[in-house]
Amino acid sequence: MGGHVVIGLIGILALAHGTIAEDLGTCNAHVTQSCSEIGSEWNAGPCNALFGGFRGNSNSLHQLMVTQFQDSFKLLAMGSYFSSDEVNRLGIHKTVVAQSDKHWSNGKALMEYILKRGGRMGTQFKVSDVTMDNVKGEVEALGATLDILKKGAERTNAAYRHALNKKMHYDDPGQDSFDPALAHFLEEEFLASYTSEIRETVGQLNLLAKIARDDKTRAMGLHLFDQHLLKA
Amino acid sequence: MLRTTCLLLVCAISVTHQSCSIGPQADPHGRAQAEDQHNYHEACVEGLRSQIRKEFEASLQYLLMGAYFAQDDVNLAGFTKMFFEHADEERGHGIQFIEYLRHRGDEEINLLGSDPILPILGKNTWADGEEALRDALEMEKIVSGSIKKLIDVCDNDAKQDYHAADWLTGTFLEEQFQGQRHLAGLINSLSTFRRDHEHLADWMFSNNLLSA
Repeated sequence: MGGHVVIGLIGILALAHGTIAEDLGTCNAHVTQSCSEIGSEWNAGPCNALFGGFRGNSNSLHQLMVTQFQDSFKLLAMGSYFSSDEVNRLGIHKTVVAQSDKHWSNGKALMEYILKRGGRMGTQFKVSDVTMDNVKGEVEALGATLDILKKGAERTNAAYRHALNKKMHYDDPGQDSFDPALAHFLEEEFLASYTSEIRETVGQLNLLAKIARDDKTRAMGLHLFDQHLLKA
Repeated sequence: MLRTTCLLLVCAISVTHQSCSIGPQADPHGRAQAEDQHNYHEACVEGLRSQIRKEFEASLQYLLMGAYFAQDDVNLAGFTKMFFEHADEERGHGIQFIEYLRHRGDEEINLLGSDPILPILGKNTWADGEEALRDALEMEKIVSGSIKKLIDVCDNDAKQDYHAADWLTGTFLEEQFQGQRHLAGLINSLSTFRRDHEHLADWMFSNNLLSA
């Protein structure tokens, strides 16, 4: 009889311990425990903004953010050449630098979203590979801009697909990436504008390329088209 | 022989015509140059180019500062707003340097160099708002010091570029000093204001920054 009581007590204690251990994972339990302790320190513990499959998307989002900043610098470096005295294509300059500004804003928007979802910026934050050498032609500049836009859209598509991956990792839930909120954000803030900007850039490129391919219209056409871009 | 010559001629003609660009060397009169030998000196121009990178590095550091205060366990939105605005300002300064170089006739294509652009202090966490403001002030002083050195280079006795020195002094140092004064004032207000009630003071100060 005595043995049964002891086993029963151990069982109740184990159950109680299990319940407490599980509850400690909740914010409410953490608040209850922390506020009953001596001292004035606060550790956020499980009281964070993380939910859903955000952890599983963290790497792809960071990569997406850094490439936005990288492309912003590349476009700035490329666009600035067209405002030099010897080239003086201020319309091309304006078009390309506007894309640089857009990519900078995109990078910041992604950074803010990562933080909104409970993410952090690590110590490794840097922007590498910022130059675009030898882009000296007007059509070439629009082509390089189009390539950047399309690569950005493809990367965003990949992140979107990852965010809608419903595969469950039971052994490591941190790998789960199903996150409809993130997919919605990417769709609303990025994919819609990529679609418009790609179409606009390729439209300008194909118009200009036809004009520039013709020996008779190249010199005057490049000037007039640049003026058109400047006033757009 | 004649056939080969004709083929070569056709190839040469098609090569010269295969272009979508007239290129900077196409003008038979030669391209006009904005730079002039009396005022344009390579050492000054080189210094102006290197300043672009410093402005961008400061910009990335301000982004990290803003990011820290946007974390879910910090949540001081006023500090985030202020530091993100500073990040945009520093990027704007970098662009101003590029535009100034173009204004003076610099035709260099690769103005950013090939090295990665790193946050100038290499730091991503802060104990509180005051520490971040002190770092911001320190960073501004680093940038001001670098502009001062640049003025010295551009105002060299042998090769003086008065315009660049004047632009750096009148436009940039003026803005730097205004920024330093503003940050020093914020630090001194916050430092005394938050004594004995740090978290409450940081929250109140952040709210003030949010509505500023």
